[in-house]
Amino acid sequence: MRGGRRGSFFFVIDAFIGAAILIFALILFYSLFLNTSPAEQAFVYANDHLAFLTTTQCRDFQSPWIHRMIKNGTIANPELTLAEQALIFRHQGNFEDAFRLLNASTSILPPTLTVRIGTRDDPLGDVQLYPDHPLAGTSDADVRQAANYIAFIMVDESNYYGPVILETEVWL
Amino acid sequence: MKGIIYSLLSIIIAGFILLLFWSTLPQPVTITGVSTTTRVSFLDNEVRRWENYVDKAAQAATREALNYLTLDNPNFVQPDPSYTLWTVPEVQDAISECLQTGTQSLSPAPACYVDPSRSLSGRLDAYKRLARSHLNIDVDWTLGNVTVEDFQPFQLRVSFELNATFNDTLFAFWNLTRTYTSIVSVNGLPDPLFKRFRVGGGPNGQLLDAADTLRIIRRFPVPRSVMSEENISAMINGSYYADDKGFAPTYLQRLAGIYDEGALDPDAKAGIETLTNLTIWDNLPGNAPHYAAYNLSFTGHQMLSWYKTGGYPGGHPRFPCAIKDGTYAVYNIVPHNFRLDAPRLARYNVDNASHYNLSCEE
Repeated sequence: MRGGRRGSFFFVIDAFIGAAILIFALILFYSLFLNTSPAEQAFVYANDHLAFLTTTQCRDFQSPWIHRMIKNGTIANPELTLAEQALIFRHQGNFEDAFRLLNASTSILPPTLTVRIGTRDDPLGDVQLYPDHPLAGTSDADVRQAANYIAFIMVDESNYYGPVILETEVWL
Repeated sequence: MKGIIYSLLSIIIAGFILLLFWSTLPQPVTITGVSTTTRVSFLDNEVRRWENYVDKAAQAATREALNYLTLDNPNFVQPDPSYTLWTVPEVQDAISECLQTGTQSLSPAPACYVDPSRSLSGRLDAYKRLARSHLNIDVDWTLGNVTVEDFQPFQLRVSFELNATFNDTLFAFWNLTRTYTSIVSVNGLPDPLFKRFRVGGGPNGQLLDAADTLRIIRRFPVPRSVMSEENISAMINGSYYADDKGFAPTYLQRLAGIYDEGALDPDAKAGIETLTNLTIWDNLPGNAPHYAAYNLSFTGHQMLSWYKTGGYPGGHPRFPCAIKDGTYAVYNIVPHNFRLDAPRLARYNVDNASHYNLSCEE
């Protein structure tokens, strides 16, 4: 009987230790974000990339092509961000350079990211700037998340453009 | 019995440990399926972008208002030069009202009919709509008093207090009240002085009509940051500026119809001028084609000084000769490389006409 009591005591202790280990493991998994939801991942990607485009000045981006455009005057103000300059190109109808400018940043992106650029009530609103993207469409995507930048920009001292939406969209 | 106690104990300790680490767990409450932390971080970024949007919207709305007041408004031109003009504070009020909503009702000043969607309020409303449809954010704003003042040559300063709330509809709420300052360039706008005094008919009216097409331009811009006292003195000594005349009127003073140095505020720091190419004038009927021969220009002040005093016999602008001890009149006009960017020293008369091969006449 005494042996039986001792046995149940160790059994309870054992269960307690086991439960503690399990909880610690769960906490570690959560705190390392190993189980972050796909929606959250996509949202973070989209917003991170948008933040990159809206805070990186053209002159600070390491791209020979962009620096050539600064030198030959195609980019008049190198202090503009990549997003602002792309929107100016878009305002001027220069979709090719707008595409290339945003495309220059694809090397830092996960392979599932695309960027759309457009204005509200604008037939060109869904201009897709990554047409050769490996993921051609979103129909098979489980998750879609977009980050939008409501921009109002100064083209030059006399001209302003906006409000206009620049959208980065991620699907997984 | 002990088993039960130990089991309860273990549950309590496990609960305590879970509570200890609870804050590190992602919170699943969301609209878009993302955590609170991520969503709040996103909203924080958006508030920063909003501030940039407000700055540009204020600049654009001010340009719209100024463009309308000086270019598009047929009532702005006064038929009688002696007509009571606005004062500078009235001009400031008119611009302020016009840029806020696209309308203003200052009497007897002309009404402002800028498209309301292009006013500052219209731009902020547009943001509100887009934020609702694209960002899932409810934005409300309240615009306080807007002030407009001269800042530097060719620049106005627009200041206003704006209260804005950002509501994520579920858990995030920002309430900002800040004073914003936007710097607005007047480059490329019509010179208001020409607009104010333009009259039809006769050589005088034709001259002003011709000048009316001119835009404010910066010639040889010199940043204020490099304009030391020594540099300014050197320019005066080099005959770039006369030292015996007052300051050129600022943009707001020009809108108020102030054109002569006697009426200027001694503290004015933002005098500007528009140079008129006399080739235009030589092509007008009744003007002798000799101004362009000097390759020189008049300033708006010189032209209007002549016009306001009734002109000079012969129909040509003349001004006091600035040659020392001279008692003459002279076609005292300024060279093309005339510079106006030095704060407080936008002088407009050449102090030595002979230096530019001009002549004084009795």
